[in-house]
Amino acid sequence: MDILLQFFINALMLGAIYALAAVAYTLVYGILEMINFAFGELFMFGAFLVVSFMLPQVSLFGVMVPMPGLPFLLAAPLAILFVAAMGYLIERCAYRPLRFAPRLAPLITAIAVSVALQNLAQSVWGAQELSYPSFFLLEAKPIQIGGAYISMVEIAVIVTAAVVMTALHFYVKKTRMGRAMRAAAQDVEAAALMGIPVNRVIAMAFIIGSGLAALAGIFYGAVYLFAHPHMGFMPGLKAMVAAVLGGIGNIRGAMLGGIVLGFAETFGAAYLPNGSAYRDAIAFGILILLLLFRPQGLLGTRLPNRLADRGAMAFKGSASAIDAGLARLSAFFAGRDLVRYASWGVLAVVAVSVFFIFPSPYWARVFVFVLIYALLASGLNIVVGFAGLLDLGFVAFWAVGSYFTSILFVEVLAKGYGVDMSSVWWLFYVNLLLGGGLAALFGMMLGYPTLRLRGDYLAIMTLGFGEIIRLVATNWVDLTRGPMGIRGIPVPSLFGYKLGSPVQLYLLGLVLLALAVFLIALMVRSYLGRAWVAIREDEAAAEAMGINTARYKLYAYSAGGFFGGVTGVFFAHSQQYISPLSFTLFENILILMLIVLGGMGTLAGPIIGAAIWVVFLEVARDMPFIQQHHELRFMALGILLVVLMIFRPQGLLGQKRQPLMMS
Amino acid sequence: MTLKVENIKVAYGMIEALHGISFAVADKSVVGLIGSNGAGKTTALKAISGLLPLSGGRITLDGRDINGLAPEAIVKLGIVHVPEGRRIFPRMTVRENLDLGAFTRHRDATVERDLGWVYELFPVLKEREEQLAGTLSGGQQQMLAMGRALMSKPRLLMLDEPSMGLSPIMQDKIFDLAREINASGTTLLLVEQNARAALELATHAYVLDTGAIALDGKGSDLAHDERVRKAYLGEE
Amino acid sequence: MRKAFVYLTAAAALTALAALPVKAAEEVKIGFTAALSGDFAAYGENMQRGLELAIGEINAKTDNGGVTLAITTADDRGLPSDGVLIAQRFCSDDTVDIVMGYSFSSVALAAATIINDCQLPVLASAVTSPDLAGVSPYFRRNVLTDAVQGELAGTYAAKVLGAKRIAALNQQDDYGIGGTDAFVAAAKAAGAEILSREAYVLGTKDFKTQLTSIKAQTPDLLWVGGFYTEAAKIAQQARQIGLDVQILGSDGLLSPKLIELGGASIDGTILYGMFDPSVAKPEVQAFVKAYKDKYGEEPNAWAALAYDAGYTLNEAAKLAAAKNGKVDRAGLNAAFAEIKAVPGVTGPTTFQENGNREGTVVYLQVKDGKFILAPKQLN
Ligand SMILES: Nc1ncnc2c1ncn2[C@@H]1O[C@H](COP(=O)(O)OP(=O)(O)O)[C@@H](O)[C@H]1O
Ligand SMILES: [Mg+2]
Repeated sequence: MDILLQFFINALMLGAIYALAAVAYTLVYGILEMINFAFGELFMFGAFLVVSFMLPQVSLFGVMVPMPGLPFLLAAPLAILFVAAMGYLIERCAYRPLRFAPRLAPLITAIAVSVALQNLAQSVWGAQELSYPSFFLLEAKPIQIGGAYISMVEIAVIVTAAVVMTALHFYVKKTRMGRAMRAAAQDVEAAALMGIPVNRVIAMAFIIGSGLAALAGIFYGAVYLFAHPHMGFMPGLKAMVAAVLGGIGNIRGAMLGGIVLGFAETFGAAYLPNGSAYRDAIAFGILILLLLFRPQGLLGTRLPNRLADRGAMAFKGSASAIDAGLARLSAFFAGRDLVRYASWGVLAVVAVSVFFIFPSPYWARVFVFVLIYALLASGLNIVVGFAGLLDLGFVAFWAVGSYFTSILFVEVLAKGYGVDMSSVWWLFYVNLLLGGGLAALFGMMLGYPTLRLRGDYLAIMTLGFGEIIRLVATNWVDLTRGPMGIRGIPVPSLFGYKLGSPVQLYLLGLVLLALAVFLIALMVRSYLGRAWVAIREDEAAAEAMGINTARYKLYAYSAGGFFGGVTGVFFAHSQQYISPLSFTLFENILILMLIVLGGMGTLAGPIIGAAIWVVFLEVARDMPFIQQHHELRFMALGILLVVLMIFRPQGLLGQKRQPLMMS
Repeated sequence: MTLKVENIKVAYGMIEALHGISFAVADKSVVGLIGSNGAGKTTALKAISGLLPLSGGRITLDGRDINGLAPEAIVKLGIVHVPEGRRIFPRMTVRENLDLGAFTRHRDATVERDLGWVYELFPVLKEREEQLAGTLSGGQQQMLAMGRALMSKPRLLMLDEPSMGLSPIMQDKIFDLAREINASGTTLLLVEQNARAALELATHAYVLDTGAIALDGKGSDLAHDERVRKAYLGEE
Repeated sequence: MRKAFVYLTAAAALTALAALPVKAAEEVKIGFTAALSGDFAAYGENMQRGLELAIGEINAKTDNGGVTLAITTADDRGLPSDGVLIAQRFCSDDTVDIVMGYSFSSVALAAATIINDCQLPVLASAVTSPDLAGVSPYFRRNVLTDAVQGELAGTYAAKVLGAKRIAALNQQDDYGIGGTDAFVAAAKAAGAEILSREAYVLGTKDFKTQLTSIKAQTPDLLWVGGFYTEAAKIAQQARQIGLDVQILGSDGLLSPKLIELGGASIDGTILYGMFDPSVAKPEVQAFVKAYKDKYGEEPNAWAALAYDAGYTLNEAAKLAAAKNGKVDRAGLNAAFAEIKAVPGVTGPTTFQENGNREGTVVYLQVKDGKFILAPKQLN
């Protein structure tokens, strides 16, 4: 009984934190139908700022800076205000210029903002955990109820969350602005036609949402007594899951979703076999089940699929200095020449790569990675670029291919049956197909249940799938050797002749990439490709034209998965070692960014994006500033992408295609 | 109150939907805008209400440029657009919808008075005051959309296909109400595919064909025009 | 940039040898790699700091056998694939004589074949996977394997601390699993009962669920095979739910941050390590002071091991320079096999043939916000 009560208290506290952050996601989603991934980072900034304000001095950028040393009750509101302002600025500068853009654009920008903020925080506060300064709530003695304990912080979290939620409920129900917010959430355009200042309402949603995220982060930090640059990532994802659980866009749903998730996680970790290792997978597992059986969420109402002109719409705000500046820059970036230069760039990359590769095994190895990322990006590009479906679980296909061949070669054949791996060299080539096929099958399995879902739900679903595969690879130690990884995977060989040197791997990879691009080109030029593009441009219209959109979406997932799997097989054998650390969500985000960088929906874009990025990462290692702040490489990528989405959303190589309005 | 639309062009991305159209709406009049599906009628209304940016031309209200203003500013000037498909807020009550109609106004006795007037025009809304708007019938939703727009006390009310999807009886009722609203002093810009009813009501009408004005004239004249009868009234 | 440029000129002029930079014969260049960005950058940063401190001190010496040390760093993000790239980078860079660092065993394992092929010596200082033993004649580490550590700790728990009922928590990675496997086996062999064993992922914040279950089992010892970041939270949350149990932790706990993050809750915790920041040995005191002066924080096990690795390298380099008149990869590798009992803050360093370090651990206890030598040691 004591133990149950203790679980109950833990779950309620965790749920309250998730609920606060989930409301942030839901508020913004309700109006813009956009998942603001950056809330996870604003959550983290909340914790960092409150700690900074409370301490007498803090090391910022490695320099000790005196701080006011404020009491918690002053520091917390200040931090919340600060983060709310950040949220407003992000909305104003990064998202608002994209109101005209296709759906995917703000989503990708949000991810990029999130990456930039995470790495910014590491530059500012350093990589170490900052410990939470003690204050009255922490010093108070916990209350004992039977054998269960509840600390003052936990009580504060639960009570504050309840109060804030109630206040918010009244705000949206009773106030003028709150009502306007609800109206905008139900129909932005109609709201604008009623004279509701939609841009202001959206800004308000971001401000309130960011404040809530900060509050959640402050509490999270206070409960677990730390602040860290990456602390917001997982809770952010969980809060997003909670928002979807409750029915995204629905405030009461988000609260309920948060609590449900808190309970599911706590009790799942306690009572499922190996539950605590799989604890993060529990959240994603529930999410997938829910999306399968009740996609509108617990409290959401199933709405008729509203057509075209509901979501993103054009608001002509008053022209400001910012807009004027944006416009000028935009003219520069849109220049035709850039496309020409970029095409020359492809040739140049190939030419230069050859020049580098032969004299230096290192550069050959770098270009092996260019090829691996180019292959992955090309595969993902089928899903994202051609079919217009966001996929945040693509690394799972890569992992499936890698693990398939590694387990077969090392664990089954060599260790299980004592087969000499060099005698079955041909199996590598067979595995390229089998691994690809297996991944394609996974693609089908993933795609099938998600077909009924709208774009963003799909994104979250794939994200959940990717995380589950990674967690299984980490925790199913008997099958995958878990975090120890599998080593001793043989290099590819041909009739006993090893193809293990970097140059040989490069050439092999080049052949694979050429084949992949050729196959993708065939697909894209066929009816299949036209169907994908039709779905991307306007799903309803495609349906009306008689395209079985569900079927073609499935094909896109399988085709993308196939190339992911093939790459995985090549990757495992070229590296001779794999571990779950390679298949993270962050890698998935990187691959996505490569595509955006090069140009979504183009054949050369993913390759150029991969080349630029991988080479940049290597070249940047030598820059003096980077030698001190390695994380800046990733911050640069984040910022670059935000800028790119605004000024050149088609990527470096993409032709300026007809931008999709209102879809 | 005079609205003048001068040679406006509107594009969706690279595709131009309006190729430079002009028309005028005189004070207290009823102007009809008819044309087949996809002609650009909705686009024209959205341009006026500030939802879509112009790529050319200008829109003036009493000689003052209004293109470039945000939608809420245009509502404040007295131009209100009842969108195609009603677009009421389905998960709010009828009353809440009506209150939102008065969003731009100061809360005072005149708002209460106008609410009374709207309830007089549409008694069914009064009966269903506390019901969720999404549960109303199509005709009731159209009334709510019109009532909601009236709550902002418009000088110019733009109705986009108010009769769409309604039974003939309900259609007649909506047109009667439109006439009544006009009689109370509100100027109307009426977009319709149901050209017959629109032309009957309109003092002046314009025929829009693939983004350009093909014809214009007095409503009754157009109703007898050979080309209009063939193309839009389905007569031989 | 610079290197790319060098290759360009080299290839273009076809005078590769002449174009390559000629380095001072005695400059030993360290290629340092660890996770320096991403979730777990803190551990890599600690190592880099320890190593750079040692390099600074060594280069400041007036007579160091004509050897100076230089360093270039590369962030591997904790990714095996980056480990491969960086290995190749260091291999191809003739100026690099030795690779140091590695904050994750899987990164070192991925890099091992490449480094072996180019016969580049490695002196790692935080990777404990037994898989790395004998992985290459060029691979060495100055940290004990998790298997050795865990076994010592298991015996200590049962025999010295007299624990009968043990609950175990382990970090779900090679370090935590390997160490805890050995711990559990040794503790069982010494007569203790293992009540439960649960894994958590590095970076976990919430342990209340596991701790609540553990509390119900009434253990007399809680083993934590993991890092200080999580151990601090485990101790905090154990106190929050009223679980008052002796905690015994692995050497990943050995960091002043453990005390800072864990506050009063961590008091009494016992852990082991190869480095005792509290001992009055002058070299340890000097190290702790120098580290604090330079970085404004106290050193932890990662920093201490990297610092010692710097001195161990210096010994080998001096030996190689004395023998061959120059320091190159082969000479350095040979010298590593010869040097014995190089003094350091973590005790003397001697390498076994399989690259592992000989040595043992000391048991420490947290007392009033400080590490002290635990009253009972394993003899
Ligand atoms: N959101 C949109 N995106 C792209 N094209 C559009 C959009 N809305 C309308 N169009 C196009 O603009 C033209 C005019 O449409 P519309 O103004 O809705 O016509 P109407 O209201 O007369 O039926 C049509 O060709 C239509 O396809
Ligand atoms: Mg229309």
